[in-house]
Amino acid sequence: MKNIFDTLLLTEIFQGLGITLKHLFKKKVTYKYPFEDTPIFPRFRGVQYIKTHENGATKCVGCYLCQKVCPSECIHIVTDCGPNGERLIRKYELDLSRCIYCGFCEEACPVDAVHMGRNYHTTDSTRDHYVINMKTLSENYKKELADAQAKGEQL
Amino acid sequence: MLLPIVFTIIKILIIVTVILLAVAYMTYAERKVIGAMQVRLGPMHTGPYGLLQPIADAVKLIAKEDLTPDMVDRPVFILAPLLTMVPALAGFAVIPFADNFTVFGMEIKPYITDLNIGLLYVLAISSVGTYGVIMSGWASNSKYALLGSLRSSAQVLSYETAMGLALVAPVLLAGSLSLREITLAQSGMWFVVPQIVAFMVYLIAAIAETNRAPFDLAEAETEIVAGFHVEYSSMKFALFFLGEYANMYLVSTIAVVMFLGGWNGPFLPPLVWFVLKVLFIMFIFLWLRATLPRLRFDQLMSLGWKVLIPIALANLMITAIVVHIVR
Repeated sequence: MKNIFDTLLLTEIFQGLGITLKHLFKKKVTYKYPFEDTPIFPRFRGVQYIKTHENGATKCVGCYLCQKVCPSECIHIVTDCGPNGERLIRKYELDLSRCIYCGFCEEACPVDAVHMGRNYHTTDSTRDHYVINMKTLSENYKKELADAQAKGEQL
Repeated sequence: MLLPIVFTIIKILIIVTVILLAVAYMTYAERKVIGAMQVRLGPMHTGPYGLLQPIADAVKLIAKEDLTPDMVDRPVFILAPLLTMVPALAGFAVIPFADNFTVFGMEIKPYITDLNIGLLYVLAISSVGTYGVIMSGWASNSKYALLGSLRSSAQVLSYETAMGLALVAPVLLAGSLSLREITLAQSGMWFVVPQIVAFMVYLIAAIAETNRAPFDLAEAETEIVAGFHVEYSSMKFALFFLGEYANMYLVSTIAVVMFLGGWNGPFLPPLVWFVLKVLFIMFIFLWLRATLPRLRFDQLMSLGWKVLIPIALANLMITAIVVHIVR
């Protein structure tokens, strides 16, 4: 009896219509992406940065661990012998077009040098810009530091 | 002698312009409303709140290359979009938008013509639109287009019966086929009150008639490529698009005139009432599209033949008996 009643009065259709009408006035969840950024969570992994000492020298010691652990093989390091027998980093390249932002390099680093940042605006018009070197990575550190201080957080 | 002709031409120009603008902004409204119902924003970038989006779409469509495939039946291929667009616009010739009013001692009639068989004319002219669908599917020389057009024409033909039967009941109550007479007959009570069943049947049939969701079998993007206009591009495609929306406006307008009392209404000027009601019916179209999933083809046919037509017939019988007893 109730089934016949439901079928005749199209109650289920009206229920659906009520739901859609309720949603019509809800607050929208869209982020207008190019004009406003989507919110980033605390553990978000973006483009890497490499920490530096106070005198501006990099913390990286060229131990190759991040290159070794990187699953997509996007880190390329070349080291050289310095005048006092210490290890100098000739080249530290990171290919962002290959990077999968897994954060293994950050975990592998024994000297707390390489870290995952919070910047995800990596799109570019040429492919050459995707390979970033030690200079860019150190600059990323400065940017991240400034951002963190603006928000009053610890990096 | 010349003055009425000039007046008529001016009226035609005004009505066609308004309808084309309304059709353009219906696409915008559809994207906005469905977006809002899915808790999205819809177009926001082109102009303030995306208000210039339809114009951008139109410019984009016109600027595209108009290509005709090699193996099509060329004259029919070109005629088909016209046959969907023109009848939809021609149907508005008999719609009374408001009551007669006088300006500077001259009587203005806010409709192009008042045929004494206006409703019949609208039904006939909207049936011509089916030919556009059939011809486009046939001329495209593509199996997808042909399947889509077959589905579409079968659907339109089966629902036209229920639609006509539902429309006869208000005609019985009004005792006239002229749309203006029908509107005047509703000045006391809108026909939607005694004819709620016919109104529901008409709405369902009208949605099926215009190939809109949940009856958009012909343009089922997920099943067949796009339906009957799969081979069309550029302005011909835009004509199909405009024709679909103009048809939606036409069936909404007929629903308003036949069931919702046309321009009748308290407090507001008649034309405002008319436009508000038409927009309300159009909103119901979008609302249903945001709510309901698509029907299967056999469900569609069985609903049309086994449910809607018997209900419409029974309603017609009861209406006829009651009218006979009362008069």
